Amino acid sequence: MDVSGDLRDAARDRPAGLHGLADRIEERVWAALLVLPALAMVALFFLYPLGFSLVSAFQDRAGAWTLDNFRKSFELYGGDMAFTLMIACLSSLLVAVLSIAIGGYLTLGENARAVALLRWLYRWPLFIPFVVAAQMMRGYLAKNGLLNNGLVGLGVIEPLQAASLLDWRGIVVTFVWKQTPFVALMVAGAMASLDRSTIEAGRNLGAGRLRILVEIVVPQVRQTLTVGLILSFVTMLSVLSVPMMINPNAPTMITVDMAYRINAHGDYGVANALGFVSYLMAGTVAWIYLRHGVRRGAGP
Amino acid sequence: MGGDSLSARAVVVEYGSVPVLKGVSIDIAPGEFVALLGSSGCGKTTLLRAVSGFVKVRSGSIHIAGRDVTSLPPERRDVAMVFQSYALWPHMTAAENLAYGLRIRKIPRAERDRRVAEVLEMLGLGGLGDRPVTQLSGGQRQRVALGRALAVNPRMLLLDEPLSNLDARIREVVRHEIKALQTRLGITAVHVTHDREEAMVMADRIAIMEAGGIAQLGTPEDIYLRPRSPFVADFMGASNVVPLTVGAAGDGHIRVEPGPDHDAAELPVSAGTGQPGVHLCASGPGTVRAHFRSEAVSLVPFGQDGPGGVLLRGRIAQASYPGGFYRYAVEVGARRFLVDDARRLSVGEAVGVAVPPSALHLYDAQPS
Repeated sequence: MDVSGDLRDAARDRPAGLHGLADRIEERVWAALLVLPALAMVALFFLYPLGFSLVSAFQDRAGAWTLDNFRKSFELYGGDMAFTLMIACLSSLLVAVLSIAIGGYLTLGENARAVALLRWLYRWPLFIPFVVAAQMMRGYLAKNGLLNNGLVGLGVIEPLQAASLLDWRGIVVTFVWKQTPFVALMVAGAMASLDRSTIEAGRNLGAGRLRILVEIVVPQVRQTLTVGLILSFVTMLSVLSVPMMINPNAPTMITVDMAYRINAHGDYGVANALGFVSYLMAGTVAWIYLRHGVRRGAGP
Repeated sequence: MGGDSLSARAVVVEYGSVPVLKGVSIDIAPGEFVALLGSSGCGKTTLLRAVSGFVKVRSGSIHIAGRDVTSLPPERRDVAMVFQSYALWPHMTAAENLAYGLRIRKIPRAERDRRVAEVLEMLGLGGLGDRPVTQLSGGQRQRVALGRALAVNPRMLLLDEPLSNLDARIREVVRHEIKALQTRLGITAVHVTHDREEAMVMADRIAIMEAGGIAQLGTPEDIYLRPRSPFVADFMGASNVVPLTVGAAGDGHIRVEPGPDHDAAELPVSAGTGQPGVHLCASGPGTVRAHFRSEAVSLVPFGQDGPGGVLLRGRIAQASYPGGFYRYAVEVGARRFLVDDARRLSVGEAVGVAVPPSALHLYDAQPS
């Protein structure tokens, strides 16, 4: 602060026309100094590795520019890319439906005890790591796992009909189980902060609760729901443990392929190319959101 | 169109273990406009919400048009409510808000559009149908909220302080508009408000609510001229209180015994609403609480006789000018009264406060 005082004193001594300019420069210097540590952290730990992996996706082992990594990626893992996108989209869709259902019941439910129980229960998966969730699902969804045993025990299916769900369905179930609480937390929060009389006005005009949820509550929390789903979509794209433990065989998700290229072949080029594809997927979703957000913000 | 009757019998509502309505009963005739008037926390909004079904009734019953609705959910009660915050849906246009109730009733699209246009026109919102409600002014939003309730041709309209968010000038206009519409359509209306003037101007009958019960139910004149309890008198503006000792004088008169600040007087007793004389609610001779309004009394120069009634001797302690007349705080003994007078008087001047018989409301000093 002393330095700033001195600079200001110095500025005061200058001819009148220069005062404003000196002040502005001084302000900028201070602003730059303040933001520098944060900027350095971002550059060092985010921008540099990101840039490096992007660049090396377009280089061969000798460092020459090439599109070979991408050609190889699409040849070997084109199916996995589609699989990844399908899993992430389907899971997001189910997460949306379930979190709206949970948020809706928490907001519109009339049985106070059931609401309290759901409020207490639904957050649990938030505190369980992906790898533990995947391990649990292996025990639950396997051919002789808890689910099949339970169904056989109840006489719903014959023992011979029991099939393993440890394929794409297992991944989707795990992702949905793990990500729903996160989105539901955001959505339920947004629903709770709505003006309750907008809900009452609907009921007063004769709308049932399901109709209120779909036509009055969800449209008002759409923004929050979208943000939650995008964050969740990006998280699912980046999880390695779940597809690795539940369904490591082809087709699988590209995170597994990336780990395989690096661990088995030391092939950073193809791994980075796959990473680039995954950025593209996340980026597209973010772009759709931003476009939507900007259009809403601008207003008609 | 016509309206429905409403009958509430011994309605009890509790929030947790706190009683909010302590056995309220009220009967409202078809087409009648009733205002529930009271200060915050008296239970007026709770009574309205009990009628609309948003709060559960612990005991008692509510009938609308003879149908027991006590345990029906709000969506099946068929009453239209206008909310204090308007409760418009921000993701819809004005027309979509108005059409919602019609959509739920599965009215065909053409009929729906016609009805929405009609309501927009009726409320002076022509041309604003396509606007998002977030782009409307406070007064326009209030009209959309009212229109949304009216669009479904309700037989009963519940208004929960719908004017409290409007500024004073618009409020006066909308007050008359709502009353005129209600009269024209013949709908039964229950209007919650804490604004005395609003209730007086709009309602056929007013229910003054106090601590979870109805203190008095009557026409505006009735409540204003013959408040049944000190609470109602106070709420309706007769908030100056003086203790008097009275005795019977026979022949429709009472005698006020002389006190430290006034002389003896003999006053006629009013026989009913609109009849001149003292409004006597005290049960017998003895000490009574006398309530009177500032605007019903006048100041006379010290030592002069008043125009009849009770003359209180006092001194001006404070003076202000609210516009059109002066308002004085007059000290009479240990009490202070607010008195309005057209003349300009100075602080410290000795004056007499002349309270005519018709301005006096007498109650038992210790209400039983």
